[in-house]
Amino acid sequence: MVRIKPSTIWQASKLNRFLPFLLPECRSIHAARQELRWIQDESNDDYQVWKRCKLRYRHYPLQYILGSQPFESLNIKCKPGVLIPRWETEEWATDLAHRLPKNRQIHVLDLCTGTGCIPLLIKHIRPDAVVKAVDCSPLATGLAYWNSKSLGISIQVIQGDILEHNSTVKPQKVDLITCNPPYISQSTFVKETSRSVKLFEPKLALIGCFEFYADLIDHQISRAEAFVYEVGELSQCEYVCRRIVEDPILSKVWRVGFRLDANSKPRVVYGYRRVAITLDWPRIFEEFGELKN
Amino acid sequence: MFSTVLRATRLLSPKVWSRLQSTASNCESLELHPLLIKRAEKYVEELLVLEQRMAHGSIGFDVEREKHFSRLSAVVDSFRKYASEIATLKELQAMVDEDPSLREEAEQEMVDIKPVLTKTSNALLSQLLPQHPFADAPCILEIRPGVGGIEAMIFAQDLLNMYTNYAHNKRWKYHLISHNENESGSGIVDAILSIDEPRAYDKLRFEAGVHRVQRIPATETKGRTHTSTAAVIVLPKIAEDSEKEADSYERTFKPDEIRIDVMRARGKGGQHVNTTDSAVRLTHYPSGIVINMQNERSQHKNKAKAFAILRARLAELEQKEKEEKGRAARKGQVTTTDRSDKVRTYNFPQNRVTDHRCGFNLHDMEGIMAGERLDDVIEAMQSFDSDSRAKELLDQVENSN
Repeated sequence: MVRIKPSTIWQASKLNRFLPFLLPECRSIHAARQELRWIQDESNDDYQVWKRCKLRYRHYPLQYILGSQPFESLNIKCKPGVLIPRWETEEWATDLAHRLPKNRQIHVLDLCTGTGCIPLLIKHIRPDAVVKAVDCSPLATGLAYWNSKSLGISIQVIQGDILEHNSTVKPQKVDLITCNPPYISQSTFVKETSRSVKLFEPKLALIGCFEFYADLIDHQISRAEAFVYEVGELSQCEYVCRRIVEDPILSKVWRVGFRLDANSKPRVVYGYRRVAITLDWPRIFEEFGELKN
Repeated sequence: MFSTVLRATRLLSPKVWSRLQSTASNCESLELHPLLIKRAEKYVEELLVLEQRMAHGSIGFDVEREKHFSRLSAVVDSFRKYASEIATLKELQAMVDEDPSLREEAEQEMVDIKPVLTKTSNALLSQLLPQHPFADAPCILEIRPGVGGIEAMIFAQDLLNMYTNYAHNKRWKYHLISHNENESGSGIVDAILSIDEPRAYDKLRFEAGVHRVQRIPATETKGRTHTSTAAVIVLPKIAEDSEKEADSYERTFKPDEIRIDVMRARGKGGQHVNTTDSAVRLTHYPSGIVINMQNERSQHKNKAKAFAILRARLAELEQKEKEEKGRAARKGQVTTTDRSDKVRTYNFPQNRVTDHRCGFNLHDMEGIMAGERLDDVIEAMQSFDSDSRAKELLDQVENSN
């Protein structure tokens, strides 16, 4: 990363005494001013602004400072210990929710829900859906519950570890499984993860490799009609695709596809049954991404 | 006696005087063309019929008709006022011609009555002419600096302040949709102001164009006068910049017509980074319009605002095309008020604001920049516009005969 020039810092300090604090995270004066305005809008006095800017100087996430992150039209509350919703998630979740049929009781299960942003958005856009959210962290389920209460969107929040296959998460039949699992591998966590994420966001929600994708094939896929999983890199997409293609039964029943985000990075692996029983999945997922099987 | 009165009014009234091109007020020009009078009489008849029908209660409530009714009665009211004033003037004229004993007093009264009559006849004229299709709409003002570097940015900021003050003085609701200051914080790179008052577009549409400033800039060290410009774009506000509106509006476009770009971060993205950047760039390919929006924390809100502006721009574009077609059909070289480039000059050393289209001068820079006297300029421009449109209309009628 390019070093910030002393002249830039000097220029920033002349504009506003708090501005240099924001430079390490924002990198440019323009972005720093924008962020300062957002902080000022939600602060009571200069002392609070100063304290918040100092937190930001130490790469503390703005979403934790202000306590919220806009997610499509929803304002999702954020707390330390729970992953902040990303715009990539917002992008695919919005698209997916609009594709689901209206006025149908679709059963949706969201795993690793965190703040509950995905199930809340789906329920907000398609109010007739029946939505459940699962997370293993009590902090996350608490926050998801609080979010659903404060937004007035009712979803069922369950605490339980899906990798542990105990009785808390009963393997009921659902139409759609969505999931944003931890997908940063240990090596990329050290090398390619930004400082603010590394220092302040929960490792529980970040570090993982293939365990959730393996769990998808081994346990979740049998009870679902379709699934949408977020991924961090192409290898995870390929892993899911390979597991399905190699299995003689699954390859006949399931179609799998990848989806890129607006930044042209592989972001989602999705799949649905070829023979749809309840819903017309091929139509729903038309042009959602690129089909591989 | 006559001249002393004139001098006195000139001394007492604020320093406003118009050039020769503007509406010179002699007796003939005060009277409207017989064709226009005929038109007004038609309205009177229409109102009578409508009133009778409404009195009988034979027709139910209808919003469109109520609107039409209120417009009709406004036209008829000002027509009656105009008719009575013109009658008084004619009587006075007759008195001047016939009775030399009363001549002086009659002339005095005529001088008094003329400005009132100019006002009423102008008002009636603008009511009789066909309305602008977006006249009822609220408006969106876009302000951008032109040539002149930092000074132009400062002037753009001054213009923005002028319009917000103007809206504030009128007690109109307004809000800033987007506001981007330059790096040094002394001026703006661009700003979009939304004035949410119905009919604001009708008032402010003549503001569109290039505004020129002549002054010694704050950035100038040697005391030289500079000339800089800022551009103002006035758009009719078709829809609210709410998210719901934007969503439904977005779906009216084909996917290959528009493109929405969000920030393109380097690296892996997703959970690896935690960005707060929410800038959105909206491109509309058929028209080549590009809109950048970055002020809100929510990408979704930025997108909604961008769509509201796209909608206003497209509506304006369509309207311009329509006008262009109509003009081509008439084959006439018609002067237009909304196309000319340099519309106004703000000369600070001379304390003067000049509107180049109607040749109106106002010597009160402070009042203008505070938005208090802007109405004077706007009214001058409006009467100029209705005059030229009336002329156009009459030419058209005469040509067709």
